[in-house]
Amino acid sequence: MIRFVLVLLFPLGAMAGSLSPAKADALRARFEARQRETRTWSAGFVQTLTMRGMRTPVVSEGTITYRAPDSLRIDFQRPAGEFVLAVGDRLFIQKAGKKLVEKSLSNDTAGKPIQSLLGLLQGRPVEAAEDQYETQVSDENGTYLIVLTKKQDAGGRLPRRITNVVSNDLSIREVRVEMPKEGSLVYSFREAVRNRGVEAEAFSLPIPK
Amino acid sequence: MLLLRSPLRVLVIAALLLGGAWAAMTIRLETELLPLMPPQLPSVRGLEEFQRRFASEREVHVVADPAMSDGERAAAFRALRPALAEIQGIATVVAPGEEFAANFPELSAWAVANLPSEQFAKAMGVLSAESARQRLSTIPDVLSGALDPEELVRLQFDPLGVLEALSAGGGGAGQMEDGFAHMMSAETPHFLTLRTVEPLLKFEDCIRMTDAIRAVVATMLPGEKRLLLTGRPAFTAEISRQMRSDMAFMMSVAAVLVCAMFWAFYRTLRPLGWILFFQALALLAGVIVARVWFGSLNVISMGFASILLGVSMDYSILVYHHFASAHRDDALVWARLRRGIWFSAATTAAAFLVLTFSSFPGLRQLSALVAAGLITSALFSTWMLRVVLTARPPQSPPMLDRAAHKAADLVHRWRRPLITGALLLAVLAGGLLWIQPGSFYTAGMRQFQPAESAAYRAQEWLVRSSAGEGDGIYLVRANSWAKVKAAASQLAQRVSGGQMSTWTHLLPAPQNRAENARLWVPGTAERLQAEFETAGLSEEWSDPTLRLALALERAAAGTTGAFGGAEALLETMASEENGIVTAIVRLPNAVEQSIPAEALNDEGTEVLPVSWVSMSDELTQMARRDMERLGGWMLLALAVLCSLAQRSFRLVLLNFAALIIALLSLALLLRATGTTMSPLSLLSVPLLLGLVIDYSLHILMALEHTDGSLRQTYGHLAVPVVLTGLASCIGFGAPILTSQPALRNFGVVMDLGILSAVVTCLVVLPLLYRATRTTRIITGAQETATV
Repeated sequence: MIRFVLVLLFPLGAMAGSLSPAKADALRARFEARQRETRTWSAGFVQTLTMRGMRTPVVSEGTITYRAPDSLRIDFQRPAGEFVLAVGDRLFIQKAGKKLVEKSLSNDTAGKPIQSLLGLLQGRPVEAAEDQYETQVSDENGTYLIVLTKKQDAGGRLPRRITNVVSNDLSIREVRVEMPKEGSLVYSFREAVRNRGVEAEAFSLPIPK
Repeated sequence: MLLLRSPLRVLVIAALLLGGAWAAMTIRLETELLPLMPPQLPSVRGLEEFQRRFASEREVHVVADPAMSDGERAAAFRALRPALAEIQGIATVVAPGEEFAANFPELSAWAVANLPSEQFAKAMGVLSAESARQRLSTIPDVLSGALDPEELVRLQFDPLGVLEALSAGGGGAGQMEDGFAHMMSAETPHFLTLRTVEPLLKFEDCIRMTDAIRAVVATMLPGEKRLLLTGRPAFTAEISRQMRSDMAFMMSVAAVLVCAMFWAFYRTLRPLGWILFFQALALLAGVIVARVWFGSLNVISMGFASILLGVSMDYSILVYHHFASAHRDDALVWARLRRGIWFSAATTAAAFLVLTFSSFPGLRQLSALVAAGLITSALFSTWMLRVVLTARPPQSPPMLDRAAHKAADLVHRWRRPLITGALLLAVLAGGLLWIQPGSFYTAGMRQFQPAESAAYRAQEWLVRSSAGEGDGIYLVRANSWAKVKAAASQLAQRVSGGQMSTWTHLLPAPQNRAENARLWVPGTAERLQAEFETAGLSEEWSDPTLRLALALERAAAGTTGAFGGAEALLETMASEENGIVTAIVRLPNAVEQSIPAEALNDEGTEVLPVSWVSMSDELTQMARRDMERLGGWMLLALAVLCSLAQRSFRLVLLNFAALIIALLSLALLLRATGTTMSPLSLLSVPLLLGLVIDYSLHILMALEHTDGSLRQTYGHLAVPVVLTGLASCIGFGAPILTSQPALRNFGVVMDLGILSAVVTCLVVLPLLYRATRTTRIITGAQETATV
């Protein structure tokens, strides 16, 4: 779902109060350049899932670690013991109390959010999203809000709206994904660290039990 | 007006005109291929049964070009859907998987209800108060941490894990999991299905409905060419329309070309009017036979008109040439010609009539029509055409005689190289046939597939976008569902390693259902609703599970229609009629496999493949058996009729020698042009037998009559044989212009065959005759003096 984040950097038009196209283009270029120079990136995050028909949202927490070009690890502290590891096209998912499963990053639905997140961190554009979404970029007190709203003709199962919050130093602060049938998924990042060494062991392939 | 002086002639003409008009107006045009195939073949029966029971005359599909993007398809279908639903006679417009998704809880309930009792008990365990409470309390934990979008939807759909329990139970119903995954993967549909209120059985209904749908597409999406229609009504509309225009076009082209050719030879068109009139009467005779005998005209018989025009035109041209020549008053020559025409017509008709014993209904119809047309045509050319030509004798241009004599001299001069060359080529063709007999024939059904048809292209798109694209489909019939299930399982073991598609696992098990109804705990649905409310989960979470429970509750109570809309879906895969149950069994990735050679049919169980691949194999075997069975009878009929006509063993042998050389020449021409014969163009074999016998009878009779004089024989026959050969080429070649690939192939094969027949009979046969004759032959200057 986060795959559409990058499209925010291809603004198609700006509404009143939004950034001008020239400014939005400049923002995109700066962001891409910055991400291409990113060797490693890690941050703490809070994942909040709200679903229609559920009284209380489900909150998870953890840390996320990226190593260029294509490795990503997400460790959950809440629920403890869960992790997601992507290396190349191989995707390993460990849910609490379940067997470790291996999936394909590109072919399985479970890989889609991870693929999008990787795309964001790598500074790669996502081509399909341009056709499916309208983009607005605005500046709110030094924080950029990029809102992608699904076009009427777009596929029925795509998120309705994706809002990305990028701080003025171009670090990613938050991604809000609004689901097709109400409900939302929000990732808030904190204490992001860029281009500092990460332990190689974090990306060693696990051996399924 | 001379014709009308005889009451008998008036009566015959009036009867044919009136009868023909009645037949043409009331005859049914068959567009289906299956009725042309032997009904005893398992694959033919399988396909027919499938179409009768499950393929719908009520469904038309609007299919999008696979090249269209998701967004384009979504936009197009969104615009079209309401407008299509407004068309008069349309009941519903649905997208693929939509009904499956809408009825998934009831389908799951159906799968659970038909489980063996021990597995049903496990599924019930999941719905128990304790299990449900425990499972619902863990939902927040399941939703935390790593997320898979599909898992989220699955959890919301099945929070208690009923489907999971089915999988764990190892029951076939666990395949519902796969069905669920398939349902979730269907994002933007590739086609819409329009269901009509009434079945579309008549051409007119099919044409009206498909035209209305196309009009809506053109109105809502002007200029959009990437949406095509398919489905049975779309094929029927397209083929019937195409058949009519093909027939009209084919006949007009043939008539115009024949007229042009006739004028080029005889520099007159007046007698041609009469000839075409008599041809039309012969055609009407054929149509009357088709109407009275069969009630319909099928796609193969479409070629009937051109075949008749090609073959029977010969008789009229021979008669015309006779009356245009100096021998018109020679009663002996006329008697010989008339005898030749009648024997030729009888021989060709006999060769065709042998085909009425063929296993292929399509050929049986055609053979009867052609035989009737030939006899009628022979009658008209020797009876009524004679009356017309005697009254106003035509004149043959002198240059035709000169050309014929020059050709005779040329053949005489080059006789040795010609006969040696012909024999060497025959040996070469014989060798090729011996070494690579299969290279002259393509068995597959591909040549019957109208590649240029929009409905066919749409069908290919549909298959490409369908999840069951690679499924092999079989019909299994028995007197009980248990037997059907056992046979399906056995079939799956043999064909696809035990793999069956989701639908196959939904086959009914009435005994299990009855036992499970007793195990059901009444009030489960109400209790589950309370559990969901306690867990803080509203209807978005509880609805599918409660619908499943309610369906099971209704079924346990014996309520009719307990499974709601799922029952209509289930009827598309299994049905019961007069105590016989029939089910569709789909086996993944088995579409290219034919039915196992070993008998699959147990006592009281029948397995029929719904497969064009199987049918292709079976048809080839059947055609081979037919050729072996009927070939002998056909040769016998030819031998008897030739003997009666020639009354000389040597001449009959020469007839057969011409036949063999013409067929071998055809083989060489096929190889040289890279053409292969199809199941339909095999029909050209009896046609060519008829043509070669026709030409060879006349040539041999003329040679006998003129003591072997090439000049005289050519003077009598070279022009009519060339002219009739050309007429036949035009008549048989006309199908090359149609939209049917099978007919086009037939036209090419026939034209090559006619070329072989004319050259063999006009060049090789006289030389063979002279080479085998023991008495003295007049040649050269002597001939000139005689002529």
